Amino acid sequence: MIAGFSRCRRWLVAAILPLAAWSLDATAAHYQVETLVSGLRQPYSIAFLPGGDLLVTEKTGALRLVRDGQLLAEPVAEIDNLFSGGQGGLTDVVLHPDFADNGLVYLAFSAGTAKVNGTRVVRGRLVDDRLDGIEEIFRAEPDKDTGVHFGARLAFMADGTLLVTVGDGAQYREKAQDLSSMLGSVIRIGDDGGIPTDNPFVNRADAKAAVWSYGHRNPQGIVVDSNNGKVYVTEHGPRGGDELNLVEPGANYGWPLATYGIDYTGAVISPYSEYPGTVQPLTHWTPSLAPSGLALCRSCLWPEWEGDLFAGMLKGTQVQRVQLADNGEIAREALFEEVGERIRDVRFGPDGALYLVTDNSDGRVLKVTPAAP
Amino acid sequence: MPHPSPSPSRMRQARGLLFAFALAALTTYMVAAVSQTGFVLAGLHAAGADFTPAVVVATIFRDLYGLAFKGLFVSYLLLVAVGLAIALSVAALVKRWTAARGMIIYPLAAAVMMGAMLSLIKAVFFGITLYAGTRGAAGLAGQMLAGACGGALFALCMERLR
Repeated sequence: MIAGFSRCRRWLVAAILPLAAWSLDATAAHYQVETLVSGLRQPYSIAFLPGGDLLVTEKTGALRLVRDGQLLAEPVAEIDNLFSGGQGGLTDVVLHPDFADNGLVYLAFSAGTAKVNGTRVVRGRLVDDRLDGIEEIFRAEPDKDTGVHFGARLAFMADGTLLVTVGDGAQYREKAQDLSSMLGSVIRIGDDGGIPTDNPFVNRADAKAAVWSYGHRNPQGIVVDSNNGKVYVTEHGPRGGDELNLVEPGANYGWPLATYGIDYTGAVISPYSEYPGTVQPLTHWTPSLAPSGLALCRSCLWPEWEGDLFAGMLKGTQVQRVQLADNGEIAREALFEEVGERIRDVRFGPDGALYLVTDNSDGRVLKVTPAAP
Repeated sequence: MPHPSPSPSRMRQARGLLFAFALAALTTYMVAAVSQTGFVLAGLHAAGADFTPAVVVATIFRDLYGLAFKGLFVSYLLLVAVGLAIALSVAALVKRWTAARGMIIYPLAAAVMMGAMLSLIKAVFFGITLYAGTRGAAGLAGQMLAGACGGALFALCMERLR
């Protein structure tokens, strides 16, 4: 009887396998990948200018301009007081929602020295391919003395306020639970760096008024859904426990009280993967794929991807497509593994195409479009 | 010409030395691992987490296993053993040259080794203390105390061997 069952199972597998292969082939046939620009020094992020130009940040401190597919030799800006050791450097770039009128560009980076450093945000006005009047509008407090876990991603909300992710600095992980510290939190500030009066902890004397959510480890991906204003954040876990969170004001995302990961040393970080009063991630990647950069498809070139999230993966050398169902179920799919490079950032362009930034000393921006029929 | 086989007393001494070293390494590792767990849980408690005694005990056992066998870079047990092999060998030479007391020189050497090893690891990893329970003076002192315990046991064993 067992032999009969085994034979049956073999027949079943033989019948299903071609269907599965067809399904995978169909997925791969959804897109084609082309190199838009190469020769970038550790590119980190991109922003699309109204005329079709592209701004690219390089971790080493330069903001570069790509015009007609060509990387201009002269940088748009170079960051003063940059700390580019370890995981530090120039990270994110976003445009003001009214960029067409005011020309404001926002940059996130790590500043200082190996002994005293932190996450900063500056803004400047783009005039004649140069960033003028650069001024600091945010400085994470307190400073730290580790060269890792800066967060340093930016996203504008629909109301014009700016979200800034700040990492826990690794050495100071318990600070992610301390509201008097900005380490391990998502910060919300005005476009000039001021504190919005409706921030969740604005009336608490023991808290930093700029804190919007806390209990994060090293959030390196953030996106705001243009349809409903929901904010999604990806963060690196330690060994295991990379998270995708739906971030809401005042909420505690648990690090380090609760985590699905363990320490690199094999030690326990917390005995708990869930803890009362903390919010569970929508999904977690265990083992870790190291998420960096996050995008959301709204009216993109693939109608079947509408509403899905796309998380770049460094260690995983892929993009994870995350489908969020109304009933809370989540499906995940690995894409672009054939590129074979660490993916630092993922963005949908105004043309609906998907753009990938590869994390290399000779880095590239890739453009993904639907495959020709 | 065949080598003369070692005398029974030399064999006994070698076995005793090996036993003393293994005991020292295991003791150092276990005290260090428990200290690491204690400081990590204390940090979590200060950040708002509560633990039952059962959770604490389970975490100690998970760390005893995890630090030895699940490290990404290297086993802490192996690090401690290699560090102790160097520190105790140097201490034995110093003892011979200076006639220092074993109960002082071995614990001291092992404690200094633990402190130096962890400081070196921190310097290599961008200023991060890789073993979270060794952050701060108290955490580091806990590891050095573990070394001292292992060194003291080694000294006791060596005295009995003589």
